[in-house]
Amino acid sequence: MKLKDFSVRIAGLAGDGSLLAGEVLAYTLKRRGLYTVSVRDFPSNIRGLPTSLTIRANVERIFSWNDYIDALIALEPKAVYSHLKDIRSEGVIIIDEEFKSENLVRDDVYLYPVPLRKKAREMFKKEIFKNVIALGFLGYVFNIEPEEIKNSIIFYLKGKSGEIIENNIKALEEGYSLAKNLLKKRYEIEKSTDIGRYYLSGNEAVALGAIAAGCRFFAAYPITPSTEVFEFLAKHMPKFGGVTIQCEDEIASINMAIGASFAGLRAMTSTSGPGMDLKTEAISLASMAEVPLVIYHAQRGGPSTGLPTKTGQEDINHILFAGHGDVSRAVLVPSTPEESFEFTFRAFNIAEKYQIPVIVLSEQAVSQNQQTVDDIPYNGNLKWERGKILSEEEVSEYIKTGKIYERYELTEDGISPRAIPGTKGVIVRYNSNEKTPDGFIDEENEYRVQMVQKRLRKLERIIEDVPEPEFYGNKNAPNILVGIGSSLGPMRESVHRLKNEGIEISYLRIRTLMPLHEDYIYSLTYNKNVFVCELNSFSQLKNYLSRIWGRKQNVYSIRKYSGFPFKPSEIISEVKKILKKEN
Amino acid sequence: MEKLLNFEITSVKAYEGKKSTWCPGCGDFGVLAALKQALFELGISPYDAVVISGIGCSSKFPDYINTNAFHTIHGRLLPVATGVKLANQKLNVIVTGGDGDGYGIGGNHFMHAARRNINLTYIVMNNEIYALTKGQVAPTSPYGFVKGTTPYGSKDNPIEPCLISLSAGATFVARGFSGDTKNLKEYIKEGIKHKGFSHIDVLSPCVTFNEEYSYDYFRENIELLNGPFARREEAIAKIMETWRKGKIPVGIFYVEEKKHYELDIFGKEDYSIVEEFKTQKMPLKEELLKLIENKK
Ligand SMILES: Cc1ncc(C[n+]2csc(CCOP(=O)(O)OP(=O)(O)O)c2C)c(N)n1
Ligand code: SF4
Repeated sequence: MKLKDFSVRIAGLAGDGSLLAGEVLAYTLKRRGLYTVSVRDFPSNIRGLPTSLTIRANVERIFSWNDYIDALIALEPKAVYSHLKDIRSEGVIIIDEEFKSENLVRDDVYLYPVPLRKKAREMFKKEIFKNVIALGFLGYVFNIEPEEIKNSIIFYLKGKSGEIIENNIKALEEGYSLAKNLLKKRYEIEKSTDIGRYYLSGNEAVALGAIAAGCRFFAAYPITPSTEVFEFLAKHMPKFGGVTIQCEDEIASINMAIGASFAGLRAMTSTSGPGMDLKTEAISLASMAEVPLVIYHAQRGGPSTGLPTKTGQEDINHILFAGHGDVSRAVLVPSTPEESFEFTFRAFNIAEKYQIPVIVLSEQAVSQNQQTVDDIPYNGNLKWERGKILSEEEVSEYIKTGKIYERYELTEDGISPRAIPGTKGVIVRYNSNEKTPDGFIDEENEYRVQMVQKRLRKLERIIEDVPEPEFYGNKNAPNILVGIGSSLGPMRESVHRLKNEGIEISYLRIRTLMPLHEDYIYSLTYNKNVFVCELNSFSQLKNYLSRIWGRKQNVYSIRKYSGFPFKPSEIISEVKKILKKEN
Repeated sequence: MEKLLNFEITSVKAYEGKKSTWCPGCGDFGVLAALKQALFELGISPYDAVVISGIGCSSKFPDYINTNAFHTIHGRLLPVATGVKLANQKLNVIVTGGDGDGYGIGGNHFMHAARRNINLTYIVMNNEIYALTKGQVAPTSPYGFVKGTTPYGSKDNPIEPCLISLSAGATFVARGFSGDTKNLKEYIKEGIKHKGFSHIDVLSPCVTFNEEYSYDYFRENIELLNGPFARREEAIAKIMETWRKGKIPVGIFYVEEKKHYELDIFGKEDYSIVEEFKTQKMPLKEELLKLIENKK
């Protein structure tokens, strides 16, 4: 049987090596010319708790995991039971023969007890190789040539000792030969040509986007699921003349970025939930003092420490409203590695053009999961646009004419030219207090009102520069899904699968939460059944968007808050349930 | 305000900012005068200096001096200043704030800036009170202090900020008195010249909310130490000894020549990322792709 779209899950305990086996497999599939998506499920713990990696592959570009898996490698006994329900009929389970499997309640799957640990012990005196033995077994199940996986192992273990690499290859071959003896069912999977695609996480894409955008200052405090951005930049930023700094806390990190931006650099900070809480006061500062700033925020589940390693879209309210006073901001929400790259890049242009904080709002399922992408969208459309920064000629104009430079000059478009401190001839005065145009504290009514209006004028045109929503499907469909972030893939598949069931539906994916493309969203959703898909329990997205629709429209909320992204079937069944109720 | 079009600074008036709104007699006047004089004598043009403050009476400082400036938020002045300094080492970054600002809400940043030994000059106007919020106890106020929020007397013990910065790793630590601007100016000059984190605690009376710590009180109780001491431990011991006698130690306590943070990171003095960036072009796509390919 030939599989066009298939999913494999490798599950074990943290420390069992599921991640490495999964990465090697994904890389092998990429080299086969397949697109892959991976979903990591790991605990906030280093060893001993359940961990898994699900990899889905297809010849066509896919954006999320599927409802079921075709094969499971279970590296610990419990993993068999916890993932059993996800295996499709005729699927494959590879387990250690030492596990007791009598009470497996499904007889429609192929179960292979394999001496994984025993062989590993015999061959290497170390159980750790069990993951690669299992991978070899799986390779045989899916008719993947040993050479293909071998190359990936060599690639992945680059830098490790020759002995380690050799042993892994031996383990792989052992897996193949065990499979040859045991196998009852074998599958074919598609093969295409590897056109040099990239296997990237959202975090890596954000870091690349920042470097491409000319960000040369990055300050942060480590927090899951955003830390990989920091690690990537710490390694590569110095090569571009920039600097990264690990701060004493999130408060310091955002304020350092503000300082660097004041000094004339493109600066960024990154964080997640609890860290974002701490940064709030400084977001107000950046807005008030008109300091351009990019803040990357990868959401996780739950208030407080919540679910540190799992996904959620629970910080929508916070991101939209964080800060006291009328805080200016823009909020961009990527769904893919490509968008994570592009939106980060564009965030720097927007931040500098309007001199405001710009938040790139991601989530664990987008930031940490990897996808195969054709390319990074780095082309002629992306340019460094630094907005109104005084040029040397403009500065000499100040010097010649004796005009005093005013940081907060009251301009028609509300944007005041920025001078770089250290430029001879201009004194640059930033202020977190309300101020006169030259930056001195002033609380008198006259300037207060003018300054507020100046800041308001800046916001009027931001909509021209931010990513517009993505519409997908038939414009005349009477039903429409609305969502952000990781909901992209599940919504897209729901559109197709519901159509097969006779339900016409489209989707609208919002890519900028602030400012909001209200007219566009209104026109596309007008008079339709709207299903807002979101990963929180408060219906934060629906509540925020509801002002667009008023009370006349049918708007429903499809919510999930387990810590995982939607599966297509979850959206589909909710839509059907609601439609049935309505009829 | 004297216009500085030819960059020649002929008098200290060049540094004059807005007329201050401090209460007549406020200790901060002395600090302002000393800093302006120090900058003038060192020949640092207002274009090359940045004064960064937090929030408080003392943090209004940037308004009253004609240099580049950033009046930020309560307690966060050191992180902002650190960002500025890392971005452009050519700037002379002076950080000015109050004791509540620096030792209370910003206490953590204070410790870490000292530990990093970043090349900043941090001047704290220590009036042992929260003044701008109209007189509450500060981390430097004595035990039992009766103020608005401590009507039954404060139950917190005061800190000695110079001991904190000394033990955290600051490489220049001094205490001045705003009633003695002559010495204070010298400390500030030395602090600015010093390459590393310079902490200058300044006894700066609040004449409105803290009668207990008046000019006269400080004049009678300060004791000029014979610093700087050769070893950190010695400086710490001398400061403790002085307090034990019931006196307030002033003077330059400690100076250490040590590689400062930016030099350690960039391997060279006076590196400015801001300037370096001016000559940069957008990275080529191949450069970015190489970063991905090398990720594993
Ligand atoms: C986050 C925050 N909390 C509280 C305040 C209110 N506040 C303003 S100034 C100040 C204390 C100032 O004391 P200090 O730093 O000693 O400066 P001084 O006014 O005595 O010079 C406080 C609590 C604030 N601005 N921000
Ligand atoms: S209240 Fe105190 S600290 Fe504030 S200006 Fe007046 S004297 Fe100075």
